[in-house]
Amino acid sequence: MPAVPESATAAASAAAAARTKAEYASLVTAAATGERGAMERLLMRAQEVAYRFSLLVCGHPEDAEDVMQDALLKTYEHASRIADPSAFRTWLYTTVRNACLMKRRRHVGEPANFDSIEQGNDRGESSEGPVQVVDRSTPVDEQMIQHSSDERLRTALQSLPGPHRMIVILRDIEELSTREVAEITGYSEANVKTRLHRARLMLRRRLEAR
Amino acid sequence: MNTSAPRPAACQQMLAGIAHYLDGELDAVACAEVERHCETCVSCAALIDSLRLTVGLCRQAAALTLPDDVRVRARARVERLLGTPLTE
Ligand SMILES: [Zn+2]
Repeated sequence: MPAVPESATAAASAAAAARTKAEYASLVTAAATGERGAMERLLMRAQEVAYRFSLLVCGHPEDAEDVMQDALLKTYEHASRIADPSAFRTWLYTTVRNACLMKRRRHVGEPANFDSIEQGNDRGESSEGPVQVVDRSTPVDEQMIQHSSDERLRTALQSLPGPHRMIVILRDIEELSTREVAEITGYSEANVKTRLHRARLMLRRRLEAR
Repeated sequence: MNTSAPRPAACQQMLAGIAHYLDGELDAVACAEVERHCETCVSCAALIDSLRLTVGLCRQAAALTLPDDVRVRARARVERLLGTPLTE
């Protein structure tokens, strides 16, 4: 069965991503000028990003509420003195990412698994077996997980090495551009692309394995 | 599909461009080459299809909203911060 040519898919997705970026910019601009409804929507959205990041990227739903609180306060502060609204979305994801990292570092006796999302660590990249990136001994809020997207996808995501997981989530779920992901993660754009491709291949294999 | 089986050289070369193809970064000529190859190569066509499906699944997950109880707490935090009940 030949693949159906769908170059339009990528173009449509790029347009959707740009729209969201522009949407963020206009929302933060409106919030900064004192529009109450815009500020409310912005603060809710910041918390949604924080929630998804904690749950999907970090695999630590029990951190979500703290990371949401942090994103809320920082967004409120940042929005009131925003210089470049178009940079807001990148700022938000960077802030949430840092909050997740800080939160993990504060855990006593935390295994090194989470650190893998911040470093270009190549552990497990060439191995066929699942890579242990989540601390299974951590109590998990079952209700949050049931409500979260597709359980199968979530499990498959958790089996990816940290950097790959973060990149595929930012690019394919949050639909940020390669450039934005490079800014947020500190990887070069070329590195983001390579890891994204590798992540999709791994993800596909994990999804087909069940 | 057996992903561990060695692929012919033509496929190997094509697969290198798949990532760019999926992200719409190939020019028209390179795109047409990939598509022409897929018309006759079942395994490359299947790989592209399944990768596209994987990306599609991810895109759907973006619709993930807050569970009700989490949303209630998120709204309460906004109300506390702004000092008044939410307008929406
Ligand atoms: Zn082929």
